Amino acid sequence: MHTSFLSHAKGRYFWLAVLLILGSIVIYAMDNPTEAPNGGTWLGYALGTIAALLIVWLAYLGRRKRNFAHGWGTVKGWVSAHVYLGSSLLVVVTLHTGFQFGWNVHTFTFGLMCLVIFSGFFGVFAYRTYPSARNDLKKSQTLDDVFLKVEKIDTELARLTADSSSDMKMVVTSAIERTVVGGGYRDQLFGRDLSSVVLGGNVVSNKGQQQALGFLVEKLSRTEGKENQSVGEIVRVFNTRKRLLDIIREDIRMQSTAQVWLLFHIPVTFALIAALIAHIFSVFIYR
Amino acid sequence: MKLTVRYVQSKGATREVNEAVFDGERATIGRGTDQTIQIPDRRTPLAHSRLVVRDNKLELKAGISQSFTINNRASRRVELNPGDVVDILGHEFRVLPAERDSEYLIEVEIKVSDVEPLRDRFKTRLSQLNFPVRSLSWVLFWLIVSVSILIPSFGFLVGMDFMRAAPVPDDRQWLAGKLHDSHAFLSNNCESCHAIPFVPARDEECLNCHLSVRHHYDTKLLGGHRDYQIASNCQDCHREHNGAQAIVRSDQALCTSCHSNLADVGLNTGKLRNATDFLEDHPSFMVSFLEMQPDETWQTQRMEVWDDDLVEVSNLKFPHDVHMSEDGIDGVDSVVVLECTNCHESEKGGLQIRPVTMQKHCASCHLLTFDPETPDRVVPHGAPLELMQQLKGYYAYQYLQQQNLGQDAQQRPKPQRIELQGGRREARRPGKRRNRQMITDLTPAQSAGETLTLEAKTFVEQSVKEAATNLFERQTCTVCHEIRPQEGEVPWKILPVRLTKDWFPMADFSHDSHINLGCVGCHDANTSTQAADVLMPDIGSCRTCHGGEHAEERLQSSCISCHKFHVDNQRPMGALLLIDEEGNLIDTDGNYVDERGNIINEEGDLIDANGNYVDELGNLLEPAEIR
Repeated sequence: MHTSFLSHAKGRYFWLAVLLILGSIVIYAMDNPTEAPNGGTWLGYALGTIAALLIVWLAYLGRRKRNFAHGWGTVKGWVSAHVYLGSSLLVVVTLHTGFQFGWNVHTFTFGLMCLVIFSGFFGVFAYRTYPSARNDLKKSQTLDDVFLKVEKIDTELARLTADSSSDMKMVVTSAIERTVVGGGYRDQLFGRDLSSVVLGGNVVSNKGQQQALGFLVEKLSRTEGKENQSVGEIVRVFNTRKRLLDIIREDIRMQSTAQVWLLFHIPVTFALIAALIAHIFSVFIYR
Repeated sequence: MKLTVRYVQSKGATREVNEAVFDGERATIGRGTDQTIQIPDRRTPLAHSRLVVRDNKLELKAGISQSFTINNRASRRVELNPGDVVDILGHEFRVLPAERDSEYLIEVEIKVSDVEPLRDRFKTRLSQLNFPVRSLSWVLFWLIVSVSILIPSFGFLVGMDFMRAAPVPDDRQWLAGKLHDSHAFLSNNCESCHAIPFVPARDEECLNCHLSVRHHYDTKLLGGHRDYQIASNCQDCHREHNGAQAIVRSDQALCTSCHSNLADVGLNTGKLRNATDFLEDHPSFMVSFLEMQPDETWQTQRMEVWDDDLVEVSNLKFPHDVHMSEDGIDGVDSVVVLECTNCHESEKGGLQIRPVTMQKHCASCHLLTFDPETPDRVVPHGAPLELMQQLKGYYAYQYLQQQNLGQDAQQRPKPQRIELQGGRREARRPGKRRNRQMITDLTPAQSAGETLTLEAKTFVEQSVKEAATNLFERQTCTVCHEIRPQEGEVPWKILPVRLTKDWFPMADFSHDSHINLGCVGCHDANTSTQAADVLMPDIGSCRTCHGGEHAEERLQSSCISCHKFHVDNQRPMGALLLIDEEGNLIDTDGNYVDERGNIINEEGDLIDANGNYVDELGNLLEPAEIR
């Protein structure tokens, strides 16, 4: 049976993280250091060491995840550990700081770690939400399948409009030729629709195929008889095409959103590891 | 059936033609590689339709849920005749009259230019945008390593100050928390404490400035190794980078690790008693006070504050109760109601009380006059010899004043003696207006001698003796001082007065922070009748409000609330003064010392200040032990 990485092995890593968090809090509360709580007390060093090792290990897990075939453990187990133990760092490291913050490389490191963890939270949300949402959206088809459907419809529209009036042919052909999905970061992430259509000799925006559809529907209301039947068929097919395009656009939006956090998560992780090295280096160079 | 398939490919104006001949029951059309006529177009299903011969006619039949157009009409099944044009997903199938030995001929034109999949026209995946994750990651990594490690570390080669002055990242970004207020000026000067990279800040760096900080105990008894069981460096108690206020360790455990049982840790000198908690386990207070020795030197004594034998012998007579009377006490001209603070003023901070002096605190009432005729004339305080000489001068002048110069000695009127009323004279003490005291035992003066000189001499001697006796024995000095007879020019000896300045030298007590309690809350002065009473409170008085470090319902006070770790009268920790050209350490007394401040000779052996060989605890070594 399929279980999510969140409930892997009966939540083994969840409970491990809870243990780590509660343990840290209890020891922190019970500890009565002879100075203000900070990273330099025995507890500060202990929490800091645990956190630093966890960060390096979790970063390695991120790499390990790509490697399905080798090494011990399952990918799902690694992801589960990565998520839960990574989240626990928020508490462990905050206690490590003893709530001392300042404009220095140490708090900078803490800030980077928070950025990494919160972007990871988004990643968990994305992985939990988008795959099934995309599946629901496309009714178990692949994106390629939907594109093929559109292509078929394009062929069909070309045939249907073969005998149509020239303005009709122009609108349908240009709407097809000037259909745009995907594109750059903004286009993919926000589903921006840059499609256009030639209407009355002018190129106008055809966002959501609305302009072209509006033209066709209006045409439909002004025709009768057999012509009305053929225009009606064109409208029906064109509308199907529009709905397919909407699905494609939404699918691209969800797929790119589910991936974009990694473009942040990974570089900031590298920055975090560099800052962590600087943090450790500096507290030991000026002990 | 025998079918010739002619594949036509348009290349600009020319056409490339290939032919294949099929001989079989049924020809299939589709994308699959097993199809008779293969259409290499992703839109086309693997199997789309098939050609069969029925009644000698070629028939095209679309597969399930497939369709095609024939002569621009949609269809699923059709009989093909020469001249028909079939369109399958944009690819043209033209039926031609049979040629040569084939029964049927179909010309197939695959529209290669049209078959680019729709999806490939767009970027539909983030990965197609080639976001430079890997290179961005490494750029960030090396950027931070450079800015936060490599560039600041360059300062170890060229000097940190050079880096701080230059517009480049420097070591100030490493500051691990705000410094204490008193060290804040060093925030941009890390190396003043962190002299050697990767070595914890050393005591030497602290003592460079804090030269006068004292040892906790007598290093001559216990050695200068600064090993306080649970703390041996400055840093063990004084932790920096914890913000503006916190730098002194204040927990009881620091002290009680030794002081809960000094004998156990081998540090019992016999003078100190054990303590673990102010409320639960702390000895009663002992006072330190001065006691005059037979040779008139003063030595400090220590006694329990509750001891009945405890008296202070300061040689001063002073009844607190008289002076503190609520009704007041007679002053020179009026009744004066005295406050404690009229005489006992606290120093700034309230730790010490300023000394009480005759001139400042007593003289305004206790006038040192000696002649009611001249109430403005006073004798000096604290100088008996000078006093006698002043009296002599005064009476000699008075004698001369009363002579009628130029007259015969016989006819001259005798100098007027101070007339006593019935052999009595008013005492000169505070309160003369209301409570007149009379001195009654004065004997009348002898009359003058034969000659003027003799007469004058006798007059002066007689007058001085009388006045001095009054001053010393009857009405002035003896009021406050212990007087003993002695031989000499001044036949009275005033015993020296020494008041104890610091009763509790082992603890610090701020009078200022306890001002709301009132003085008599702790010092039982208003019922004290003599100066010998010691008016210091015992521990119970403090415990009314103060408890130990973890006390409930009492003010939590740890050891260092009252006691200082660095004891004032011990040797300074900062024994190092300078380092000579050869790198030898020299202490403030000019001795060569080791890193711990122990005096050493040229061979590096431990010696004491007199040059004797000693061990680490300062004990003299036996000759056999000296190497």
